[in-house]
Amino acid sequence: MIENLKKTFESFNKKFISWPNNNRDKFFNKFMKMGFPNNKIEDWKFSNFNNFVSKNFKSLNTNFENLTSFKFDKYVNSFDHNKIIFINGEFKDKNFGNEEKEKFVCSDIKSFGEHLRLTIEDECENSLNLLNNAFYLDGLSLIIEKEYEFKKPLIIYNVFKTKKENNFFNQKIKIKVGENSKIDILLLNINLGSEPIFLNIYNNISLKKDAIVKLYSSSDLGEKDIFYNFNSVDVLNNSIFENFIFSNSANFYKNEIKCSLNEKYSSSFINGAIFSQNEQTHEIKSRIEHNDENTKSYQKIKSVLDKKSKSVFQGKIFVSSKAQKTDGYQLSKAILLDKESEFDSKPELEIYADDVKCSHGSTSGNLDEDAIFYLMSRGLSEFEAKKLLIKGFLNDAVETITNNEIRKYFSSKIESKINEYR
Amino acid sequence: MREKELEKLKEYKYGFSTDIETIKAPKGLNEEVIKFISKIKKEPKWLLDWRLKAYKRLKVLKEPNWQKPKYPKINYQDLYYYSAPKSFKEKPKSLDELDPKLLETYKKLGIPLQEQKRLNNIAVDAVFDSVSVATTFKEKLTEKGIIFCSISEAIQKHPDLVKKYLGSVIPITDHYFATLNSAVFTDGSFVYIPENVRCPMELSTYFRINASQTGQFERTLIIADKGSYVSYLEGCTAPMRDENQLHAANVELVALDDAEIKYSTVQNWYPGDKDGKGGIYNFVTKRGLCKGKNSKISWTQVETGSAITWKYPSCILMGDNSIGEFYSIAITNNYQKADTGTKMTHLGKNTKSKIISKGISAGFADNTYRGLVDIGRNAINSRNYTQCDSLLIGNKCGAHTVPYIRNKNSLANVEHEATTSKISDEQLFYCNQRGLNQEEAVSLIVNGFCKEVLQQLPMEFAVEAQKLVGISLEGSVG
Repeated sequence: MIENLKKTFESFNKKFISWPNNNRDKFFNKFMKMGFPNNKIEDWKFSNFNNFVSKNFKSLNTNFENLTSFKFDKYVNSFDHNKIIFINGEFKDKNFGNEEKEKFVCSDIKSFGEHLRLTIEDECENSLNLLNNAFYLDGLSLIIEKEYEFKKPLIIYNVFKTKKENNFFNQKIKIKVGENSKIDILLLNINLGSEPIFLNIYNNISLKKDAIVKLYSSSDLGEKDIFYNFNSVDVLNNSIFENFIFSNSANFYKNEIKCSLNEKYSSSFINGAIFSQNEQTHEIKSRIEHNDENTKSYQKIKSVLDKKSKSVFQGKIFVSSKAQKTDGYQLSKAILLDKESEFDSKPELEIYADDVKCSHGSTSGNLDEDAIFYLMSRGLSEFEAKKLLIKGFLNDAVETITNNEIRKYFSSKIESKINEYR
Repeated sequence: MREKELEKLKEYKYGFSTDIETIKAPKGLNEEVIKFISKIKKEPKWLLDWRLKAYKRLKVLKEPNWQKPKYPKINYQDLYYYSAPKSFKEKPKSLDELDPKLLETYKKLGIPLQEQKRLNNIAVDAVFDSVSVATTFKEKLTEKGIIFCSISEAIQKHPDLVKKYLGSVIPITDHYFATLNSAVFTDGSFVYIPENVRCPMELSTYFRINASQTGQFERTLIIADKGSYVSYLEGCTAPMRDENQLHAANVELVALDDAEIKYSTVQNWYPGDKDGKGGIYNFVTKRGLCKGKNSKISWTQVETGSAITWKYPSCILMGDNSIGEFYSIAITNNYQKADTGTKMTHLGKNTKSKIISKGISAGFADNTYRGLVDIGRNAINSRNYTQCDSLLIGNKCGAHTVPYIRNKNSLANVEHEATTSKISDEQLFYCNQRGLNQEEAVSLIVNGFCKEVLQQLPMEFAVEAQKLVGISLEGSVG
């Protein structure tokens, strides 16, 4: 696999050699030294990523001269929204309706020339981020001026339907939000084709003073797809970052968040619902850094596991010695529906300040027998009772979403997933 | 000069050293030294082979490096692996023959070895550097068929039992320090409780490191046969020295059907001085195996000493309906570091485990709880409850929680919660108002914070531990 990837990289990099400061090979060589993550690495302790790659793919290819395109029009119709559309990893279209166009700059990364800065600043030790640096082709750069509140939420449609020669996609999304501005974003990753893809996205989000960013993500991927999403978030004075993840599809799905609360009164809310089935492995990993006084973080992850699936939650709250009066909370709950499912969690606290309030909780177990009995005595079948309880369990996380339209979207999405459940 | 010394001793009252002639093994770690230890202890051949096998394995192993507290590299060739008082060439048959200097040492430590003088009903096995010096109340225990002696004695007198259980819980191929211990262990305690016997008194071992540049590697093996019960205590101290000394012990517990073992530790090794100089590296492997049905193993530990404490008393819950418990208080002050916790491996049906951990850090100390709860595929109806609370005093110290939870069974319930807090001003104010000074108030509040664990200790120990909690935090406020 690795040898194959090397060939892919060599032919890929040929097209970039003429670029000034092209340092893709530097990142790729560093990656080659590390290889794909395996369970010897602490952050990947619970699942051996290497196995997923070799199980689902014969080779990883990215051949952007042969990218095919198609028409996509299955937009979310339950509410009005702004759109950005990626087809097979390429920025294709944007539609911001009647937003004030002078208040923000939205462009693809390919033509913006943002690529140089993006790669150089990412001095990282994470091998999949290195791979992203070596292979990224396109992405989004959205810079919002100060004092602008978007009227409608933005949906980023990231749609795929490809052939074997293109199954490896690396994208970068960079969002900068100015003082006192606000935006709600829903990121949808959809694979319409039957060919498995490996999608590796790097998000870089920075919030200035008093800004608010709400980032929601959901995906409809195939049974053999691999999805890795890394969010690096910087939050300044009094601003709020809200994140919700619904993870239900793809063979391997990992969402990693590194959120730094760098100035006073900043806060972050990270919530997620996992409904894994059919031998899927879903992971959420978070690292919240409290670097200044009076910062707040809140995490709630709810997982339901069935049919030999596995889900993992690794959450860490880091409180530096400067961050007095920190309020950190983290809760992860899981329900295992079948004997062969597995739930692993590692809720971590690393605290260097004394005047803080930090707590975490983690539970895992079965559905409450008494609750099932109660519902059955009211006339529901056992299966219906279970479905109702699962819905209630997951909705607890969905209710943390503060955007009404998007909350309804997720609520009905989860309901339909549960209805499909057999 | 003398005053200075006295001042120093006030901080750690067990910091004196006993001037006694010793026999030491040649410095360094090699096959010759292992053969020397084995020879001086007149060990059978199988044990020497066992040690050499462990040593062979050790050469392949690498020291683990995932722990939070980092320490300078230990030069294993610069240590003495065996040190014993000279008068021990022939082990004294009774206390009357014991070197008076040794008796005095234990008197100073508050461990009277003369039985008639003892009020408390506790049988003690005292280990001085590499050898066991005395075991008290032997006759009374023998009446009941209980074997309580040093492990060297057990190797001579009960080789079948030792052969059967030694290394059955901690195999010689385990991690680095456990393997090192297997290769060079010198002495320790051995306990065997026969079927359906309830041990009438608390058994206790007192470990003392005296010689400098010496590592202490003791090995404790406790076997509770069907339907038996034993409560075992362990205490430890060491003189104050500027160098770091290594203590790498192995403790193995085996509980058969319906048996119960309660193991309590009050660890008060020399923690180093205010600037973090000296102190013991306490790298201990403790593991209990609930082998039989309905068996129970309970660990209670109060960790106040050592420069670095790095240990995870664990339970393997193999028998159906077996129970594992872990109660821990870890207090770190000045530059002390602790990385401690437990591992509960649920294998049998209806197994239960409970973890209560209280970490307190003050000064520049770092305190980490690291634990694993692993529920296997067949551990139907298993339950785990974990609670770890940390208390921080001052903003130069750290408190960390790193739990690993693996649940592979849908019929199992796992609960984990952790909190971190500080002593609130209101609590302090309330105590001050009632006439307690700042330090008394902190001691009282901390004792309250630890109450759940202190309650688990046998009475005599609990009083000592409570005092220790207060002393360990002296000078951390105000």
